[in-house]
Amino acid sequence: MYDEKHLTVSLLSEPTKDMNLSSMTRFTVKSDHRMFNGIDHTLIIILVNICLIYYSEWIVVTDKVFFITFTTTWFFVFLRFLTSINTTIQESIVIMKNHGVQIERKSYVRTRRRFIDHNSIRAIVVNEGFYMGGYIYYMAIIVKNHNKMILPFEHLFPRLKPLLYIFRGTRSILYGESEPDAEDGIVKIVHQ
Amino acid sequence: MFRPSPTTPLSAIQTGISNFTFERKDNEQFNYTYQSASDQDADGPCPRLNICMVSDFFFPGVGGVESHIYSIAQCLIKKGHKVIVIANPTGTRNGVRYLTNGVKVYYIPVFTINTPSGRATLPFMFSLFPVLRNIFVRERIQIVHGHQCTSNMAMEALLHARTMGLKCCFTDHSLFGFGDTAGLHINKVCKYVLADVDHIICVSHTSRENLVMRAAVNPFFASVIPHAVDSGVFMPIPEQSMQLRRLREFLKNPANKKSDVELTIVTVTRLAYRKGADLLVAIIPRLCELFPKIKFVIGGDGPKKIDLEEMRERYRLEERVELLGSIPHSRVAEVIRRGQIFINTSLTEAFCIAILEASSCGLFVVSTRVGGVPEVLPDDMCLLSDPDPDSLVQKIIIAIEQRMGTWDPERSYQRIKSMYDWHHVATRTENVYRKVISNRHKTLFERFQILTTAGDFYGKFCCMMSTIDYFIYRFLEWSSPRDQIDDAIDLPGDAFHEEEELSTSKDKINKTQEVLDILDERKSSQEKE
Repeated sequence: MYDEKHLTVSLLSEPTKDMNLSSMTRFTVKSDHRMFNGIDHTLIIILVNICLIYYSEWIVVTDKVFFITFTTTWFFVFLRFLTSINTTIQESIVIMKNHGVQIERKSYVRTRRRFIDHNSIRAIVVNEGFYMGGYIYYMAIIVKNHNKMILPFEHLFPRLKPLLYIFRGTRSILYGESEPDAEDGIVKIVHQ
Repeated sequence: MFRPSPTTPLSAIQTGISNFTFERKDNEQFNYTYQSASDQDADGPCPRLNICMVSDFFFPGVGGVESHIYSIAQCLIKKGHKVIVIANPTGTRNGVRYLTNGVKVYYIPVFTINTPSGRATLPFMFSLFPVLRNIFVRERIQIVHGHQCTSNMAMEALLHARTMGLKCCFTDHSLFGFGDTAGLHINKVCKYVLADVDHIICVSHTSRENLVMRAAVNPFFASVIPHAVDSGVFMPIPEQSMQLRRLREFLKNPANKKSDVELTIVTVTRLAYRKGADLLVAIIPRLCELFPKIKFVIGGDGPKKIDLEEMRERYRLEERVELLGSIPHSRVAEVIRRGQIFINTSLTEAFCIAILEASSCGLFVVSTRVGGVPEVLPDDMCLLSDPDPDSLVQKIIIAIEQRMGTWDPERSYQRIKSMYDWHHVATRTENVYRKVISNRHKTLFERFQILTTAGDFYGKFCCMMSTIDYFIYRFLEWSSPRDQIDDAIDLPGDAFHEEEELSTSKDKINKTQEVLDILDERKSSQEKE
């Protein structure tokens, strides 16, 4: 259901004396998605083979058959291209102490950012929910005057360990709770 | 048909059912024909088990099954096990919820239909396998416990748990017929699913006989663990003793006519045919005529409520018969306590919890002798009659004239409290789990051997279904691998675990000695510093 997601923590300002995380921290989750997968490669190979077969006249193929197979294969490749340019490749959450939280979602063609004010955050929670045949843990921000919760990582669901790291990190910066331990080893801290 | 296990000698299969006696001439004989797992003594503490209860019938629905599951879950958590419940959603209640003491409830997204008694699932054989497997893997479940034959989700869960190699238990709460449509279908499904179950628990001896015969299971794998009642909720109030004292004085006085006695008769039941609403309609006018001052309080709703209202109007009993409609579960005790006698007129009952609750509240019980009702209360706490109006009226007359003179509600409560306790039920269930958890894992071939005895054609059909189930399981293992499923976070075990109550004084002395030793040590270490 998920691929291995990479988690980076980038510190956007100097960490203070007592904390390991700075007062402006960004947690990023990147996906392994690539533009052209194995299926696309196979389809392109099929296309090339069809062309070769036709032009070498090894098998006598009627124009109609050739035309249909050629166009349908290109159609599939094009459809796959269209759906894949809008898949999310990176989601991140930027936490600014005393100011709020910004959620960013990047795909190949667009990035969408949303800022949530500190005062309108009711709570930040980790909850279990049903998604695609099973139950997963997700992080949610409960906002005042909103019916629905806002999920920072809505498309690239990180596993429980990195999610708890992000969760505890967020709460430690915003509410001064205890910092997360760096026991996972999958977290990369980058100072920008 | 006696279903042979792989280790049964051939001679037993040939003689068939004649080896097992189902006639209950006296209780002694019955106790020696089988040794139920639940009655064996426990040796040592049970290892912490992850138990999953599955049933269509759970909170927010109210009923016997629901309260049974909830109470057992609470008691097992106090013993230190982990209990989760899988139920079907109602309205906006879906997802993962938590109940008191950390009972985790999964309201899984399943297609349900509306029935008069709540939402019910349909028997789509394999549709729930992915979800159930996900839950079993993430919570690291070891035992799956299904409740109630009519719950399709429970039967399916047992089937899938078997395929996955988990241990299964099943509890049955009702009696079913053999010839009617509902019975036919349910028995067929039972024959399939219960063949593979490790252990079956029934709520009364009658229910056990019924289940063993209709589902053709090995009676050695069926135990009887009756329901219990929450004595903290269903207790009498001092007013009741005063009322009964007045009643006693009235009855003792020879100048008073016995037919002028003033008391209230209560019944709280679903007003349906099965629960004997027609009998109620027949006996109330006669009793009101015989005893001009008695009152009736009837709680509960159902299709036969109209008949009762008609009867009220016809005999002009509006002031004497009170119809309360459906009562929320939290107020049932208060309604029951309004009366001095409780009537149960059901036509079929595996184990009647209503009379148990009434007895615990200090009421005298008059009931029909059906199903498992005779096993619930001792003979001096209830009167049993045949399920027809004349006999019922006669018994109620005896109850009013003879039994109420010597009835003590407090004593009734104390006796019920000592006989029925949810902690005992949980201990016995825990013994069943202990036995089940050490069972050898059955291979697919052994399962087939048992399933083919379900019937000439049906047996092979069942084998085919099990094979398809197994293939689906292997497919799921590939498509959603176990290492991709996060383990669910458990609530800390010690938070809700209560230590066993020290029952004997010797234990208490030892415990206090330990505490004194610790205090001495601390004192000496402090002095050293």
